[in-house]
Amino acid sequence: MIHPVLLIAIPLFFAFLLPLISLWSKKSLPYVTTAVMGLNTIIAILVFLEAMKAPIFDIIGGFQPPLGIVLMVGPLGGFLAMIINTAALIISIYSMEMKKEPLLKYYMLTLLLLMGTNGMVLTGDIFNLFVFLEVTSIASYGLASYNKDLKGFEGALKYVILGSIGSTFVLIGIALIYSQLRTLNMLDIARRLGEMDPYTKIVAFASLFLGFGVEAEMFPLNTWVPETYDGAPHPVTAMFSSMSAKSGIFALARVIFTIFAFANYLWFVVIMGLLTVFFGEIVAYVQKDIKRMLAYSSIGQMGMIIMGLGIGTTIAVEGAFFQMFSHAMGKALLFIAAGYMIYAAQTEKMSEMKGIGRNPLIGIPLLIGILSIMGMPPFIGFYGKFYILMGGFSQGYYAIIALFLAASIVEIAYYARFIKIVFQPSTKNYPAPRSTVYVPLILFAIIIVLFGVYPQPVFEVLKHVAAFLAGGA
Amino acid sequence: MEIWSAFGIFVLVPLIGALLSYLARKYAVYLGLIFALVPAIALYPFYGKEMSTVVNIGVKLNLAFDVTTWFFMLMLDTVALASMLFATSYVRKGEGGFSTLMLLGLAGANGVLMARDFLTLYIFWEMMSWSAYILVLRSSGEYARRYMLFAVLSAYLLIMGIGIYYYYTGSFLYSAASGIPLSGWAWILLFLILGFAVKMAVFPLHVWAPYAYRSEQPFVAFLSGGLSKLGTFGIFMAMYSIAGVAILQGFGTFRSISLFGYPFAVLGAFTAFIGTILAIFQDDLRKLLAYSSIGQLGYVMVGLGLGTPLAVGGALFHAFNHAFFKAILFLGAGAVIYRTGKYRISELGGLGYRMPFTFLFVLFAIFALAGIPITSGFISKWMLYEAAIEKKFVLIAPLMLIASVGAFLYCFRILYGVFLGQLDKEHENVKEAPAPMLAAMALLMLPLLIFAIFPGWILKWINEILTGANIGTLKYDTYAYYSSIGGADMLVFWITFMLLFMISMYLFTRKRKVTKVVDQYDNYLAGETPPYVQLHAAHNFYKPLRDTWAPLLRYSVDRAYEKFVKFFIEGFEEIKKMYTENPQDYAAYLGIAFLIFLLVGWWLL
Repeated sequence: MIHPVLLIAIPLFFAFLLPLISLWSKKSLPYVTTAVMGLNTIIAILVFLEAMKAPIFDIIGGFQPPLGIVLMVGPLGGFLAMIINTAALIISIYSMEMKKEPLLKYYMLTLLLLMGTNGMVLTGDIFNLFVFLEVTSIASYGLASYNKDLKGFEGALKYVILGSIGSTFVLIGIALIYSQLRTLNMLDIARRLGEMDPYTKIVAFASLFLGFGVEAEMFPLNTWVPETYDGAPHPVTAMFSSMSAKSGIFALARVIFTIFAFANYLWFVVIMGLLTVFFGEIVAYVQKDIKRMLAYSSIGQMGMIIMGLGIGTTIAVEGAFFQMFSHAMGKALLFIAAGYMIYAAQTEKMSEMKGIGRNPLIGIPLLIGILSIMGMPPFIGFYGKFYILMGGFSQGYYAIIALFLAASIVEIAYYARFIKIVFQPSTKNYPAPRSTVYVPLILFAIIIVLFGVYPQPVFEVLKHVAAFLAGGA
Repeated sequence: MEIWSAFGIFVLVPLIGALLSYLARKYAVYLGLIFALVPAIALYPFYGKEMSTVVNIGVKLNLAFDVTTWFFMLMLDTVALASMLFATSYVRKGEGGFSTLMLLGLAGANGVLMARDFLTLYIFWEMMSWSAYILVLRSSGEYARRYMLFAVLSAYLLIMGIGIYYYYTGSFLYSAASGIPLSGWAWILLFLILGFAVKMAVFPLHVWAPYAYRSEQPFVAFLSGGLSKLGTFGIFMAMYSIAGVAILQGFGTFRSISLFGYPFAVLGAFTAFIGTILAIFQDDLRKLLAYSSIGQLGYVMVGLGLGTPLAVGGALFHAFNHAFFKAILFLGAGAVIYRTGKYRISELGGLGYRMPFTFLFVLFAIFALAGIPITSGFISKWMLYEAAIEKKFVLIAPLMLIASVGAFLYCFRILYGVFLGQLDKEHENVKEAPAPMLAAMALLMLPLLIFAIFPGWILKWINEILTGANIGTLKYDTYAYYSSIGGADMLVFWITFMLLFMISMYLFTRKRKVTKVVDQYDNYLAGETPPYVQLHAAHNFYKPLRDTWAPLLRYSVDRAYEKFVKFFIEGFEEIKKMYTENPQDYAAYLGIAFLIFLLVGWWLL
């Protein structure tokens, strides 16, 4: 049996081994990091296959739960870990484009980010969740300001302020729970939730909801997103949207379903999701910079996932998890493509990028990514969106879905505008993409098309959503 | 097993063709032609077969093949074949995109026709939409967004309908429709019909069409001739196959017409009227044809809305005819544009002398469009008129008749402006369109002629569809159809026509001996050297008519949409101000959010 703790231990170990390796050979750093991520991906796949049979409870240090720390890997957690590691692996290929020093710190922070996000989706202990959230956040703060320019610092500073307020709230929530129940194990908390004082319970829930909402880009806690995404180096932006955001939303799902099963609070989650979609898509429409547009679009997509979670029926949550997958793949692709475009056009302005997609190595994956994000079949973006909407209908949220669709049309509008600019004929000559750019793009595109045409494996995983909703791992 | 062969031939073969023609760019157009040929030919043995299956790709695709599917596939696949044939000489060699996307669109369209549950329908519908979007993007990038927005609007209207259906039945299957209350049906049908009507470009959802139809002409022929029929198919399925006549009648009736269908019939008549009026004043040949397409599909909408056997039969027949004659017209326009590079009617003229075969085909298509009896266009239009007159609808029937007169006006415009009149000097050396183009148009002309002589053949298929959907039966035989107020007997017509034709031919040939065709300058000029005089009066055509209509033409749905969008974008700018880029504000948002979370929590406690 493979221990899921390896997914956390390996990146952590190598993160602190990297300085030693850099003494020996500085050039090998990217390759070592990629190799570590590859190893992690393989382990994640093995863990996931194991977890599909039965949830894994990996007990750490020999203390039995609820006293000891435990890793709780259900099929969905394993699925998410697999997505995160795969995305990290593919993005790490693009990371080889990074030339700016200090590269050692960059790769250390990337591995720490991977470790933190893995920990967040794997842990079964609420305090551990906080610790991993902090690791993720601190690594993110460092990466966000990595460019050492004004934009980077500004974005990172806002992230630091909001992120630390968020984690403080998480800590408060955990403290409140612990003060009443004297336990930190999620399943244990869920079982004994009835013993809590109802008012404390609400405060604890609101705190955790807010804290993880910051990571999950929920409205109005997502104000850091555009600037941080804009200021961060391009591979880091891709990582934020496909790794930390996904772990944040999974933590949110844990809070909503595994820990507190508040059925009567769910409609409020739907409304928050709808507001997130609305503001994300609408503000994305008026953006002129490509990365900002994609950042706001990312907010919109996360809002859709939050909506799916809030609707709370099996089909909607299935959609939400599918959407996590498709968004991780699609947005990472788009951010990588955006990175290349900014490099090639030497500006962030979309209006200056005429004809950049006419090179098929960029254009075709880009088109596939955008169509997937728009929710067009047969790409993976479709199933998530459709299932979330159908889940909403089955609960009778007609008006909310109609508003959501209206916001979605805005999304189509700005993506179509973007496509038009990128594919229109132009005389400008852009440098050809290097293999470090188009290989990850094509890999993501292949995943998007493959699972879009044949989504059976994903639906096989999503069969476990019902158990997750019932409070399982 | 058999359905697998159907699924394979009609969906998978075009998909494989799409992939291959992308990989082998050099032979893309020919590969496209071959892979469009396979479904178009293989269709014939499938007539009359009924089968169904479930394909599981993780979601279950319920597919079936019956006579309705077959009937619509007949027009779609034939038009696609003709378009691909035309494209072999139209599209630049070595370009993969065109065939790939056309075949993707074809696979999507065939999938829509075979789908028997809403999820499958939606998957194929969207596939068809985005491949068409990229095709529009290829040539008229400026307006691709408009197409996409309306395509997505149509998809989202469908989603609303599907969702409400799902709420009541818990299933996506068409056959699961039971126990839905009438109010539920009203919403489901409203959303579904509006969603499909976008594809049919029904007023006021038509504004995408005139712009999208300016793309590459072989694609436009497929878009207007083929893909728009999916709207017809969808509305037919939604109203008569999924809901059924009993439910439609349950909404109450007006002269035995469902009160639910009647407004759509009026909308259709109105669309026919508006489309025709706007078509009359266009100078861009492609835009003229686009508005004409909108108008013609309005007729189809009338038939679908009225719902009597005669009306629905007429609608299906007219949809069939429209697929072919509009494809010929767009291909003819394509041939003209290919040879001259011009698309403004006022800049063309006299091309009939240089492109006689193109002229012949276009002329025939125009006969079909205008409903002149030597083509099957007459029968379908006559059926629709009779359906409206039979029930004494004083709003619908006159609107349709006015639209028909208008159709003569714009048809004349095409004939005179493009093919007759004086040949422009720079077009002296224009050659006839290449053989594949002519072959494509000839192929499309055949059914129009055959079904004008033997309308009974097609009415047999339509009758099978109608009885299958429990609408009723048509009264017809091989040469004629009959209705309570008359019908049309093509045998009588053809005999009379032939007689009159021979007489006039005789007179004409006699008269010809005294006519002498002379050159324009071959006349008395009093010794002056004449300058070149442009005698082709195509500018400001129908000016008196335009002046008469001016007060009405001031209103434009296009501009209304633009204003609507502008209003919203200004609003978006305001909303953007929420992101102040000031961390203090952001921290305050967090505090406010926490308070709201708490309050809601307490309230729910």
